[in-house]
Amino acid sequence: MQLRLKLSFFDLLIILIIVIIAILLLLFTFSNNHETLYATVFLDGKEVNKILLTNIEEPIELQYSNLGYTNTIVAENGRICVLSADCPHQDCVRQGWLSHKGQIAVCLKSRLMIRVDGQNDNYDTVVG
Amino acid sequence: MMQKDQSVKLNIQSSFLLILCLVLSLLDRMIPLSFLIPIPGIRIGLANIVIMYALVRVGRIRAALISLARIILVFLFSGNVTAMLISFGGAFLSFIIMALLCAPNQNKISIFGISVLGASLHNIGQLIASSLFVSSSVVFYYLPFMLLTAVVSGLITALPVALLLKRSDISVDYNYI
Repeated sequence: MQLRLKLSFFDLLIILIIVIIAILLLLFTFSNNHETLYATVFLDGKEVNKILLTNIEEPIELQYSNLGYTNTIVAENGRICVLSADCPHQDCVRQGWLSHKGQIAVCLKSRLMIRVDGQNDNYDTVVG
Repeated sequence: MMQKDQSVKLNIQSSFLLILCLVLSLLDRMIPLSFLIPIPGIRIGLANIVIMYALVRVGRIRAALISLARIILVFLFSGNVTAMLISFGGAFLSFIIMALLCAPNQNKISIFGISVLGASLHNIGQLIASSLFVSSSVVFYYLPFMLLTAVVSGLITALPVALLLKRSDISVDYNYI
């Protein structure tokens, strides 16, 4: 039985297909899925609002007042933040934009909390 | 009888190939490729050199037995059952494709293509086996890197086989099964 020893067109085709599959898989795993990303707003530990962060065309602005302090929340496509607040420490505003599952912004004075949750979860890093 | 003589000759050749395969397998477990490519257990499958050569030289059944025996022997040397089962999963898938492509009248795909496909399927088989082991599909995140490594290592391991086959004359028509 004699095997073909010279590289042929089919070999290069096979190699090309495998490399393309590998690249597609890489792109697929590193793409940030914005599917079912939502933010929950809590006041005094009780859920008062649930905002879906996907497919938002125009930024949504909301205001919450509690215990004498007011927070303004802005929700855009895929992210949410406390835009401004009248609390002295501004911890909530300094948190900035929340866009990943598990991120939290809390205002200690008004007992407001925003928490981001989602279904699809990409791994954060690879350790070899 | 010719048939019996041939059979004995092929068996002896297979035994030598098995020892070679075993030694190459143990050797390439010692090469620390993990420093270059951060995948645990990544290897240049040097043992595939022997398997491919065996497919041509002693026939497909004996090559399958060499592959199986090598896996068992490496387990006896290392004591790692998990590695054996995962290795078996990879070798099984890889061997099926290589055996199918080493058919007598096949001259579209060269040894390099067979080697690349064998290496890729070996990796895929190992990932499938390890995903069954840990009951999770996170292991498949390694797949793109392993496929790219498989292409390179497939080409590298096909080279010795091509050189060997070019210089020897195995054009005798054995009864290859």
